[in-house]
Amino acid sequence: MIEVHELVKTYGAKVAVNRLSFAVAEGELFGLLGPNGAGKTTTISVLSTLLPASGGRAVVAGCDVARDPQGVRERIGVVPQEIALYEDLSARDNLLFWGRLYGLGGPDLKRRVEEMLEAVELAEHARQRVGSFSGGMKRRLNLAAGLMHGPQVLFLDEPTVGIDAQARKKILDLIRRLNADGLTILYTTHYLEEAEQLCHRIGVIDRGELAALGDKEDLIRQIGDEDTIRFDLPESLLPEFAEAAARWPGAGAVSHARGLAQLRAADGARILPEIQSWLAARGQSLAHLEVERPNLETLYLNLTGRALRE
Amino acid sequence: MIRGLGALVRKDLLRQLKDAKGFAIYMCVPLLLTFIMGISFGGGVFGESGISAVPLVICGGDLPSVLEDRLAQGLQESGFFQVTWADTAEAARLVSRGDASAALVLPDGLLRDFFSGRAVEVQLWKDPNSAVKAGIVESILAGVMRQYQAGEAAYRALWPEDAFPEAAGEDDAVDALFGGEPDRLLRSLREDATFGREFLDRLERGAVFARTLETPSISLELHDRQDWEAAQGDARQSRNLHDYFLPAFAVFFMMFSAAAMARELHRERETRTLARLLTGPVTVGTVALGKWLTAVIMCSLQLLVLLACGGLLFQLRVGSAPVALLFVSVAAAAAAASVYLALGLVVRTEKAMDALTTVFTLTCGMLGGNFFPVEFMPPALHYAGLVTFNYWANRAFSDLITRGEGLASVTPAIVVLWTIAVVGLVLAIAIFTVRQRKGVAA
Repeated sequence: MIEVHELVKTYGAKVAVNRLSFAVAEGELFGLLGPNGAGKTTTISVLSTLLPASGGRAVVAGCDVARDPQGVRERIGVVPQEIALYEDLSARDNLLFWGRLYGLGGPDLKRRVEEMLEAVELAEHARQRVGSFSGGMKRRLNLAAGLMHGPQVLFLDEPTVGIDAQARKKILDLIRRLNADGLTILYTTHYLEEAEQLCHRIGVIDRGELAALGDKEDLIRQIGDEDTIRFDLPESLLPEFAEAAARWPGAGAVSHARGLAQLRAADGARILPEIQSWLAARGQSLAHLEVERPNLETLYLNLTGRALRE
Repeated sequence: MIRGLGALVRKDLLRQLKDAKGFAIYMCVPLLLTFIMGISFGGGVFGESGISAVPLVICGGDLPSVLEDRLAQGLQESGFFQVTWADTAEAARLVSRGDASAALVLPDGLLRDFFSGRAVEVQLWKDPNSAVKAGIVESILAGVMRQYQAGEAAYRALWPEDAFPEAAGEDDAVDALFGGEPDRLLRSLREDATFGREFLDRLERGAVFARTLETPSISLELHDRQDWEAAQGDARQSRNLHDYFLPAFAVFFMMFSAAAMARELHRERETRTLARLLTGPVTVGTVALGKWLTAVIMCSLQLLVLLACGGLLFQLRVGSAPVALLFVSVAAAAAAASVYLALGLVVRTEKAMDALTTVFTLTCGMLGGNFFPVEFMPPALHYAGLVTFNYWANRAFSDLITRGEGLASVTPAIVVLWTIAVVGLVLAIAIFTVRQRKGVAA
């Protein structure tokens, strides 16, 4: 449903998207995960024909974004990161407008508006000015506006930014339902847990480039299925510790960072007693110990050298 | 495209109607200012005295009382002036207190100097706080002077040898005549054959010239408006400068409204609704057309409401050619909407647009005759005004309301306004399209 091949977008000398390639199948919920400024919104802007690409090719719902932008626009729904609604109009008037813009009219339009208001749980507030809505209500209406015309592909650009946990849950539930009904969704986020919970596949994007791509398990496998054990150890003892660890079954690479020794191990729980014994034999107390299972955050750190929320 | 355009216009109109503050600015503030105008200058329901009767004081001149009365009566009957006679000290006091907008100071010995061929200097003292009314007096007086100077020039062209007053050396005799002693003049006529012949020749030529002016073969007939309106069967209408200024003010406020409508495009850009629109099934051309059409509807409505109120409050003759008035209003609104939309797309931010449109509106307002008739300006600026769209709107309204013309008379102005509208709109869409291709439209 979405094919992106070697997509490039530059602003003068600055490269916002650099040779990005991925594909999204029909009915798939695909996530683009990356920190702010990684190129997620630029990618959606190019795919939704708002920005012209500087290079590469993209096809959405069978239409080339450069050659047939009008065809793309008729088939997609876009939910921008900002609340792109008319705050001086009511919720119903907003939805009526977006529906009319896509050619809906008469009873069909009215029925669709009521359906959408029900779906986003705003039916009781239909006559209320959007300007008086809470952040969560605006986000839900923002989503409904992008769904009014029943698009084939939905672009969701960080749709849960700046709202509380309850409102976020409502939106994520709605997105799951839409996807379960067969809607193809491209979802951008910098929230790791959202990508993990929602998306069938995830593309990790950093500085405009695709750093990794696959489902959650695929991605974790890319960094190896190893736990990371960190504990306090003077750096002078590290060579001796590395020598000992090399003899323990399942133990991997040893490193030292920020005053902590770091040991990769296939099964962290099984190797912990060995570490304690080794430390006790040398009169070292264990003030700090942590065991980290492999996750997307680890992957992201490994791939980019920075945390998602940086 | 049509459905998308309809949706855009419907949405924008709904937003305008729901914006009480904006609606107040578009409609109520101009109305409030016209009320203030009415209270300040009078006219219509605000009374007959006021701008239609500029208080003017005349002093000096040593005119015979019969001429004083005739001059006062003539000025009074013109409909523009409320005339009082006073000495120079009283005139200065009246003008400085603002009780008179201007004082016309005739020199002592006016008639004597005139017939002796000496230069006659008439002074006009203006009240600086009553610039508009004093300006009206100055304008009319300058017109009268120009007419007289043209007549004198024509006379001298016909009889260049006629230099009687200078050659005769009989100033004393003329002075004596106006001093009530005609004996010296009569004696000169009898005793000096050359002087007598020249004097009689001059009188004869003067008489012929005067008769020719009275019954010219090609004549310019000037009608007092009251007479003209009486002939039209509308005797209640009085000469009233609101006829000019109220439509000119309405056009001026409409320009600000058109600027505000164009500014909406920047607001939509900032709230990201423009970006969302441009990912929908509409082109930038449709979006621009939607904004333009909304502005045309709102600005036409504003003009028509203000003119209708002018009709009710100031007895503007808005009903004499209603179809023409509607056409002019829509054409003026269309031109304004296009010009401001194009201006709005030239700049990238709302702040820049505010600065640009304010300067543009004030400049066009001045050049196009929204503050005072362009005839008051130097010729170069007068011609510069022709390139402003508001000049054509003002001129068309002036033709309809002040001169009582019909649709045929204002058709050229309507054509010019629509030409500006089409060119401006095409330009706006072209700019918008280029910006979209560059990825900076939204």
